[in-house]
Amino acid sequence: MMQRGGWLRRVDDTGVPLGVARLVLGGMFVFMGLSKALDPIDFLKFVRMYDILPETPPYFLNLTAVILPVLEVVCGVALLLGVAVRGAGLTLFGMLLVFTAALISQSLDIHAAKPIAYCDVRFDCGCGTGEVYICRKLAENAALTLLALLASLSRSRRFCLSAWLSRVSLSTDPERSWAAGS
Amino acid sequence: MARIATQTFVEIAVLMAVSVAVGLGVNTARQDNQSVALARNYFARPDAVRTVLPAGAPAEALSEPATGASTEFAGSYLGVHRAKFDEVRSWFEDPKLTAGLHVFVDARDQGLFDSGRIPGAVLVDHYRSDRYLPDALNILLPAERVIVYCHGGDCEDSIFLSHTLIENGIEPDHIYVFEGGYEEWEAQGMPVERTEWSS
Repeated sequence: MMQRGGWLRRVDDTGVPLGVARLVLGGMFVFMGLSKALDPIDFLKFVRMYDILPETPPYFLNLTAVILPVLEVVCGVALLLGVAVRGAGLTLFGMLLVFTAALISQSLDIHAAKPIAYCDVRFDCGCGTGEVYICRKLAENAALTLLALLASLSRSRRFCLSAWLSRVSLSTDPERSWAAGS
Repeated sequence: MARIATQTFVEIAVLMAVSVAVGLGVNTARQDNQSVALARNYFARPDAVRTVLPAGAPAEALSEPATGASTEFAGSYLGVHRAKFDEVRSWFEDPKLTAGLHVFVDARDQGLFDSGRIPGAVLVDHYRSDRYLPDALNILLPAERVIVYCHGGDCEDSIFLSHTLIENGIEPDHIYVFEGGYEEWEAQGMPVERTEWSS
């Protein structure tokens, strides 16, 4: 198995890359999601600022403001616990792609309106971390996107609650233990 | 491979379902005045604001705006007036202010209102107007001039609040939107009022 996968597989099998990705990505999204969920009306204004969703009917904007922060927290918690890791990773990967595209669009608008260098563009992106410099935020998003991709693709389940639950389930079910050859 | 794809799809569906259930549940249950009214359009205004000038729009809609203000005064379509700093200052110094005939309305949130406001301003946070309007209307309905402001710059909350005030019986002709907002008021060295918190 190790020969088939090469060194990438061997590193992945240690569970360390996935563990780091889960901790960093999960921790960040729990923090950012909670800061938005605590003031959904403030977040609603940011959702509208990006001009992605229609203003009428109001359900699009309002439901996004209510559900999106919770989705971030739920995915973050899933990663931290190590359950539904691939699903949470893929969901955050998709969200990060959309967020980054929206950030780039908004920052280009600001840059076009102000005679400043692109990296000097600074605004509150509604990301839950206050005002940010755009280049720093894009670098942060790129790193988080890579971690989300890693969480989606990793085959390791070491240090994951789901793996522990599977082992417990196998050991308490004689029929499945036998079938699994353990 | 197909098994992994199916499992991932199920995981995503479960995560989404949990988020929708928790999000809607918390939004319904929360008592801290932070819940979002799902059916409410918080950004309501006439369609014309984003399209073309309607026939008979006030001439001031086409006038040159103050520095930093939008070139198109959205409030014109509501029939409300745009107010410049010098006008606002004269209304602030007018004895009608103390008589309650000139009233300043702060459309920002409680935190910003507490950290600094135009003295005597009434708080009507546009996004939580249901909470503030019942009391505020007693003060606003008899007023000759209702001067609405928010942060300033590209802030639109004073326009949105003007729309809400009109819906609640305030004459559009009595409403003046101070586009420079609190930012310009403070920058011009005008007096401000803050909420003092006792420890």
